[in-house]
Amino acid sequence: MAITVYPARHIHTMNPSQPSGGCLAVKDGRVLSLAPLDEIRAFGDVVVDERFADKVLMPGFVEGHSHALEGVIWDYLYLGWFDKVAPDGQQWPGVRDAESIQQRLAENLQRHPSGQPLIAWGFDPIYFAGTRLDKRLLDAVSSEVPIVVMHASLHVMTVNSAVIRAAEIASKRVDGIVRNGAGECSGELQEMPAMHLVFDLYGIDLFEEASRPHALKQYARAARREGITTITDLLNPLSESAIEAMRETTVADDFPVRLVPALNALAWEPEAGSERVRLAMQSNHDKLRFGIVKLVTDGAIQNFTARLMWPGYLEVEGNGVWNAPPETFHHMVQHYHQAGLQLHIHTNGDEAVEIILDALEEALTLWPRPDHRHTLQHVQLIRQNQLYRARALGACLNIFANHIYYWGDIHRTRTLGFDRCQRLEPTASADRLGITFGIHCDAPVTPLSPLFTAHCAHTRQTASGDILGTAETISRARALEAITLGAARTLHMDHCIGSLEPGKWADVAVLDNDPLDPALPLSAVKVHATLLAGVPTR
Amino acid sequence: MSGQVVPGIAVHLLCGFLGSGKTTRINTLIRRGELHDALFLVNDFGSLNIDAELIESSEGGVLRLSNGCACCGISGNLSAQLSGVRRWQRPPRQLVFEASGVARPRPLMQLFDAAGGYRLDRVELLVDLSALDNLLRDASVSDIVAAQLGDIDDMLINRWQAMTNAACQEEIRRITEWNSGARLQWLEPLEDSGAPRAGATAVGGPSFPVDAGTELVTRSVGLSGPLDCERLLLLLDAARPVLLRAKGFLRSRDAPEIAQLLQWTPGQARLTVQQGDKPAMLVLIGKGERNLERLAALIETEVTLAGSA
Repeated sequence: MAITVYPARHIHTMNPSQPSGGCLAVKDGRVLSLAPLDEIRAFGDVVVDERFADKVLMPGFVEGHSHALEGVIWDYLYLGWFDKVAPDGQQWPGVRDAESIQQRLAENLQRHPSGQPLIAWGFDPIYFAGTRLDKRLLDAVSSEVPIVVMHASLHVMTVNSAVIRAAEIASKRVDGIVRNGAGECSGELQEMPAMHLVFDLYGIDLFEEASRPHALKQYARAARREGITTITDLLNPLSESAIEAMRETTVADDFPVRLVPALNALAWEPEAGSERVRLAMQSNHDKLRFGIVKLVTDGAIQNFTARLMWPGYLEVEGNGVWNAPPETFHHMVQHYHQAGLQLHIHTNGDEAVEIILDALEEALTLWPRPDHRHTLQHVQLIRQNQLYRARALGACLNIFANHIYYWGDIHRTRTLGFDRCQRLEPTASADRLGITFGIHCDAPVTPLSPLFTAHCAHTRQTASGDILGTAETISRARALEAITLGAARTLHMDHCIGSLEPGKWADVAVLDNDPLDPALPLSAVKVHATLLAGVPTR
Repeated sequence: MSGQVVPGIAVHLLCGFLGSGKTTRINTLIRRGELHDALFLVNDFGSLNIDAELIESSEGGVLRLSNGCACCGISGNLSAQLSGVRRWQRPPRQLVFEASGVARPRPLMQLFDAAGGYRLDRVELLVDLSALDNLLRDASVSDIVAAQLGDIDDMLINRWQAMTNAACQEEIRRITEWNSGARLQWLEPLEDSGAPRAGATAVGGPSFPVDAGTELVTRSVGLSGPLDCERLLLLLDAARPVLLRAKGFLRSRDAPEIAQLLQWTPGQARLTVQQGDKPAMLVLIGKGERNLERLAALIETEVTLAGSA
């Protein structure tokens, strides 16, 4: 097999012994060498491919926490506040006032198939102080064609009068149907009991769609565009059809990423769940890797559903929600730990972190296991003493750095207050303690873009331009490590991805600019291409 | 909606915290023949404990729910399940919904009341009376337990038999504080051997207050001779609020020639016969140094002395 050499303007390897290079030599899909060309020739004949000679190469990015739902959601109309890029590369400017929302809906309605509801997503009311999206606003677009606007949280929707009539919403007695003083429906439907009336009427099931090949291909396409070469689907049903769809899709030569799906533990009785993962692992190949298990403990801070310790939420009384009784989490942690599988555990609030640290401590006392790398996901509010416990237990973290930008202003003013925002997403503290950590976007909750995620961890800048907690900023180099080797470690895959060093897969992010150039924000660095196993992806 | 005129699937909603006896209640209803053409929808995360044969005989099926707790999740899953079931060619006449232990009942009651093709027929809350005090004092779940008590009037009271009359009365007083309209029905002892046992304190038995220490500790107990297994298990069960696991080898008074492996977890105990000679020793893992010291002392005095007596 020939050796292909890609000369580059610069290569950041993430290999501490050989942090930079000028040429990448690839053989059999793996990194052979990063030495000067003359040294590489010692391995044999080479083919020099100059196409990236003026580019900067890095290890392909690893997105350690996102969802294949990202591949579905763009089948619907985007109405979010922030600018976003669809998997097909189309730029979607954010919509920031009622008129813009109406205009975009109206434009879309003109080419919308008749008889179908117009479904939109991404609207985030938290950015619309003073303006409430309601049925009147949507009726002005059309009171005949059913219009459904899913909010960014996916916990709320707003519908127009056509939907209210068709689903007979006015006659139902459900708390989540928002009404005005006269008892008239406003069009806003909160939480599942109210939203079910609409899901049921139109047969909407986004989660089912996310397991299909179309969604997986779209998802991979979106990931590739952002320089990602390994991506997770961190809550997968692992049904037979889902496994088959992933196997069939990833095995194709042109599938441009490696996919790491996690079993949704709460969907399975523990014995059956671990058996299912083992079964799925038989389908593993170079681009598909089963073997991790996801446990979702609490909700989200911006929805006031994360479980918080004292002093709780700033604006709202009461605490968040558990997805299962805490005792169940203990049993699940013990079971999957004992079964030898790796856990990825959603813990947004500090109370959720506490429960899971207790569970990990129990499990490790009963069944000591070196290098388990169970990973606490999100850990937005993890306390300093909890970081020490996490380190002592050998746990890894995957920190939700994007929250600082997208909800940092809201967290300071409405959910958490000043102090906890100084610490929110404490990457620097984790780094100082030597804890293995990655950073992530949780797409479709926030956009896929590891460079932007690194930018958030490096600057801690909110959407309004505020800086939240300079003591928790990390350097560019550490932020870049977190989106490559750090994330790879949390997935137990650092033996084959995460850095460019001999023997690892030649997965590469090709950049137009140098991410270590202090003159250019990390968020402005452009992804030019990716290589998977040394081959440029399409 | 779909325009179909359907009488609606009658929904029997069962709520209650983990281990309160919801699954046992379902089995009881099946055995009594109170369910006909029923589908069981289970939103819990432990092992499914329904007798499959009994369910088969009533021509029903069991579906599990994923994506977390149904009352609060975005729960495409429950919504999709309900949509799917009512469009079956031959939908069931009854749906028995076993809610998750952390489910808040009100949203679920409203869901089944409003959802097309369904009607809310019956709602019951199972209450493990012996665990109520601990649950209401546990800051991580007390708000949820209180919501359950407040939302549902028909309460089925379980695991009260081992409590003193005064203790029962105290817990009932607290229940009526949360829900003055509560209608209580006292259930007979749970029959399912596989169902989790509560950490009920036997009358006159020891108690282990959870606030006597929360650090995780391990303690070994040497066993001097054959012991009273029944008494040992009672002690371990009584220590359930603080004891996470006990394991080790022992010989029972009834069969002192055989070594047995004991594996105890809250709600389950298994004794397995072992070959050869094994060191007679128990390892206890639990919360609070003083708690485990006390349990170890009780085992040494009460169990082993009783065994050799």
